Amino acid sequence: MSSVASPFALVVEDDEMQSRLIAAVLRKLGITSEIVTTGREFIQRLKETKPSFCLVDLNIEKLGVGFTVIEAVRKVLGSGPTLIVVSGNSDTTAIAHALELGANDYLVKPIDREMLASKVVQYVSTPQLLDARSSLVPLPGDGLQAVFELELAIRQIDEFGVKLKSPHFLLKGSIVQLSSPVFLDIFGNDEPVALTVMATSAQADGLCGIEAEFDRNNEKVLVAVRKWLAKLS
Amino acid sequence: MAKGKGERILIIDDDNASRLIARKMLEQAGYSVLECESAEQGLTTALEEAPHLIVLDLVMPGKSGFDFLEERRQSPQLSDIPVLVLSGNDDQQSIYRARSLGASEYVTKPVVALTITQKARKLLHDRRFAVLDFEDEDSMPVARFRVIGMVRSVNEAGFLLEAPVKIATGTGVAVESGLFERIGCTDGVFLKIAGPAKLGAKGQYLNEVGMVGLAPKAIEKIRSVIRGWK
Repeated sequence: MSSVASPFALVVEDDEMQSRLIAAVLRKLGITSEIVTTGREFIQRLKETKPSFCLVDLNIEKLGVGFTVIEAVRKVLGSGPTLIVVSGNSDTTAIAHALELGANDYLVKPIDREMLASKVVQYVSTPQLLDARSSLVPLPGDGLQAVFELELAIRQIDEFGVKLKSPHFLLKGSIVQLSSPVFLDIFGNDEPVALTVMATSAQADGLCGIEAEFDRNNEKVLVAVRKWLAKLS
Repeated sequence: MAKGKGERILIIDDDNASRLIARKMLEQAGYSVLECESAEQGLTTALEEAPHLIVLDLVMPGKSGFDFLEERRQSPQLSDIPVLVLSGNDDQQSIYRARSLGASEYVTKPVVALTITQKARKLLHDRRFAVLDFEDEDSMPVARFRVIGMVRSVNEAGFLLEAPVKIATGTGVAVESGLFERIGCTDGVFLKIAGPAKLGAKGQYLNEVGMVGLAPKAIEKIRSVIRGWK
């Protein structure tokens, strides 16, 4: 008879009291765990056990040690293992540093069961987790506007448009306002340029290939691009 | 990228009637046409407007069409633009001279509509298509684009962001929104895309944005605000 194995978490924590607490919270969420106390042991067991995710305790007194563990995991095992930092330190510099080194998430102690469930449910699923996580609550009215910027790379420019390489996938037909130092060179100003996404395709490297066209009715833009290309050829 | 109609053709001819006829023929074929009455004016316009094709008369007051071809050949900005000569001169010497100065085609006047549009179409089809490739990953210019989305729902772990882009999992994003004031999170919060976005009913992507490293007090504050909405 086969049974479905419960998700497994590997925890690095050198404080015995804390490790018992973490193991208890995980157990209640239907997750088995193993606690290790040193960075070396952690990497060794990580290779052997291939856990669903890892909790890395960043002890305030030994912050440097914790950061070294994250750095070592990424160096040895790449981006595969999911590393969730648990720390008593809510300082933005520490959070930024952990994320920069490759941590997937960062939780501030004391561990909040509901919060842990909401984060962990992205990686594993148990009935207890689904039950414990908080659900998303609709905003009153129609929601709130959010503005953000994303980065991508220009692979090719011709007189009609650009070919882009991006980790993000854009909808065909959407209009993007693109800014780039190369446009400053072409148009002589740093105003964003409007392009229409004509085609998107998944590429072998996991990135998205995007073909976007300049506004065909904006002769000023088209002329500037043609002149720039002619100057280069 | 597909070449399309609307390509620009510059006609340089001192004769109004000839220009008008050529213009009509080319516009009917779907091209956008610019006109100049002299070779001098033609050189300036060609440099300013970077047309896809030049239709050139040879005999004009001031600089001739031959002078234009000579100067075009020496200009890096113009030397790749094909030239269709449209001239009343049908002697072999003129044809040979224009060809040797870089004219791509030579048609003698009077012309029939079909001839000029066919020649123009062929030259535009065969022209060197300027493309700049950044093959080396490190040399690819970085570009940024601004996206406007909507926050539809939220909890203390993150929020759902509806946008025309599927943001890659793990991407750190800086989002400007009234949401943070609304949930009492005004000290700045790290945001990271938590998982693969799904396509929503409105044809936009629903991106799961995780709020990272929130202190217990901030979590409590968000929970109490949200409770008020339920």
